Amino acid sequence: MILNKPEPPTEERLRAELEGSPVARAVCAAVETAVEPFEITTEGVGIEIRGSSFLPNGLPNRARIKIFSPTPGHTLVFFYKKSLVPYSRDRYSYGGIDLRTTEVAQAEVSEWLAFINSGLHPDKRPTNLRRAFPFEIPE
Amino acid sequence: MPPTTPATPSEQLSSGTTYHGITHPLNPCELEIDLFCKGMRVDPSCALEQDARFISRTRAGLGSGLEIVIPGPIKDVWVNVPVEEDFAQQSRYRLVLESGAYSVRDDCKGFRYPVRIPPEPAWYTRTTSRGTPMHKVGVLQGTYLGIYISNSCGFWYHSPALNCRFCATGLNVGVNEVAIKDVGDVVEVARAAKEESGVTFVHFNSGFQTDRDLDVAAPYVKAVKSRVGALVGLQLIPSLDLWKYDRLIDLGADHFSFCYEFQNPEFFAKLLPGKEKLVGQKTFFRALEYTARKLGKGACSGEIIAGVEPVEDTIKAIDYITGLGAFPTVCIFRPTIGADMEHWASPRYEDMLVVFRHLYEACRKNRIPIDVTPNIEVSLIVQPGDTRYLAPRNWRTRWYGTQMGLARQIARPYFWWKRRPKSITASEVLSP
Repeated sequence: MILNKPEPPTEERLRAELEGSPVARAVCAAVETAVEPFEITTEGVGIEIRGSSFLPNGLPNRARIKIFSPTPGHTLVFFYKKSLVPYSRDRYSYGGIDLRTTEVAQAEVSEWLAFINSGLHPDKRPTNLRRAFPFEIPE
Repeated sequence: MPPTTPATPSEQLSSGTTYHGITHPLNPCELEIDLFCKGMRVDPSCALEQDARFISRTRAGLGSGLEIVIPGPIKDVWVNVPVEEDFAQQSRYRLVLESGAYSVRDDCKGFRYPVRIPPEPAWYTRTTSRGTPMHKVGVLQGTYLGIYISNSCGFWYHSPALNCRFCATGLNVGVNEVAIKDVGDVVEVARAAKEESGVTFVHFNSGFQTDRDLDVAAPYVKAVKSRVGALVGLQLIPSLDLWKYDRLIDLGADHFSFCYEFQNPEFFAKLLPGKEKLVGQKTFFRALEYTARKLGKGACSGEIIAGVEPVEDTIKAIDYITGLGAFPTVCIFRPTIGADMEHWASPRYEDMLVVFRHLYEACRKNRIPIDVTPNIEVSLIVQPGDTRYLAPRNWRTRWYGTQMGLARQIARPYFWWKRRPKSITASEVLSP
C-alpha cells in the first residue's frame, strides 16, 4: 500500500513520472497492491519509494528505491538509504540495476520490493543487482 | 566465523549496569574506543548544520561518522564517531548541545563528556576551476586531507565479486564521490586545504587497480609535492615491483601504509577474497618490510582491523608491524552501511582496550615515534599517540614520553622543509 497516495503532491508526482516510464509504473502498481506500507517521495529526480515498516530489530526501515532514466534507453533502479543526520547530504548506496529495456518482469519487481522490505538485507539482494554501480545519481 | 547477532537495546542497557566494572568517567582514549564500538545518537538539540562538517562516506566507508574532538590533558583526541549504522542508533551515548556547548552524554551512567565539533571548512562548498565540488575530490578526516584517487576498486567488478567483506568503497563512487579525480582538481583542493585548514598531510588511497596501483598514484604525488607542498602518504594495493616504491619516494612520497587487515591467514582469505586471490598476504608483508627499511622508523604503517579476528592475532599483528619499525594503524571494525558485514556485531570495548594497551607498549618497546609529525590527527582510528592515555604510570612511560617530546622539537625544522613545494625531476610515468 502507498500510505501517502491520497495526498495531492503525491498524486501529481505519480501523474508526472509514471507516464513516460513503464518500469516505474510496474513498480508503483506492485507497491500499491503490496501488504507492506510504502511512501512516495515527492522531491528529486525520477520516482522514489521508501519502505515505511519497522524491521525485526525494532528500527524503522530506511530503504529507498529510485527509478530514473539518465539517457534514452536506460532506466536505472537505484537502492539506497538516506543519512540519519538531518543536515547530511550523504546517501548510502546498496547498488542498482541498469535496465536497457522498458520491460520488466513481475518477478523481478517482487525481488526489488522484498529487498526494500528487508531493509536492504544482504540475503535479499535482487539477482541482477550490481553493487558497484558507478553512475552519477542525481538527488 | 558466522556473523553474530547485534545486541538488542535492552541487552546493551543491561550490560551497561556493570559497565567496565568501574564508576569513574572514561579518559579521552577510553571514550574514543567506546564511541568507535558503540557509536552515538544525535540529540535534536544539536545544530550540526551550522556547527559541523558534513558527513561524507568515502574510503571504505569509515568516514561515515561525525567528527568530534575530545579535549584532554595529554592531547585532544579526534574521533569519527559512527552515527549512521544500526548499532549507533541503539547506543548509550548521545551528542547534546546545551548552552552553546556540545557534550557526549552517557545515558546509562549519567556521565557528561565535553567535546568540540570541528567546523566545516569554507572550501567544502566551493568548486574547482573545472567546476567540481571540492568536497567530492577530498575530505578532511581529522586534520589531514584524504583523497580517493581513482575509479573505485577492481575487486568489486569481478564476478563473483572479490571485494573485502567489510568494505563499502565500491558503493560510494559515483554516488558521493567523483569517480575519477583530475590532477588539477586535486592540486586545487590540496592547496585550499593547506592554506585554509592548515593541512600538513595529504593521504591518497585507492582500491585494486590491476597491479597498476602505484602507476596511477604517481602523477598525484608529484603534483601535490611540487605544486602544493605537503607531506604525502599513499595507501595502495602493494606491488612486488619494489622499484616503483623507490620512484614514488623520488616523486615525493613520505609515507606508505599497507592495509592487510588481518594477521590470521584464514580470516585474510575468507574476508578479503580479492586480496587473497589476486595479491596475497605475503605481498603486503614484502612491500611493508621494503618501504619500512627505505623510509626509516615510523614512516610506514601496517593497517589492520581489530574486532573481527581473535584478539591474539591482532596482538601478533601489532608486534610484527612495530618490530619492523612501522607504526600500527588499527581500525576498530565498523559494520558500515551497505557492506557485506553490515550485520556483524561491533567489537566489545573490553577487547579493544586490551588491543590498544598492547599497542602502546609495543610502540614504546620498539621506540616507534608517535605524534612527532606536525598536525596529523587521524579521526578514523585510535592513533598510537592517543594510547598514551592508556599507558601505565611508571618511569618507562615517562622516559618514552620525554624521548618523543624531544623528537617532536628536533623534527620540527625537518618537517617544515618537507612541506615546501619541491622541484621534482623524476618521471611520474612508472611503466610505459
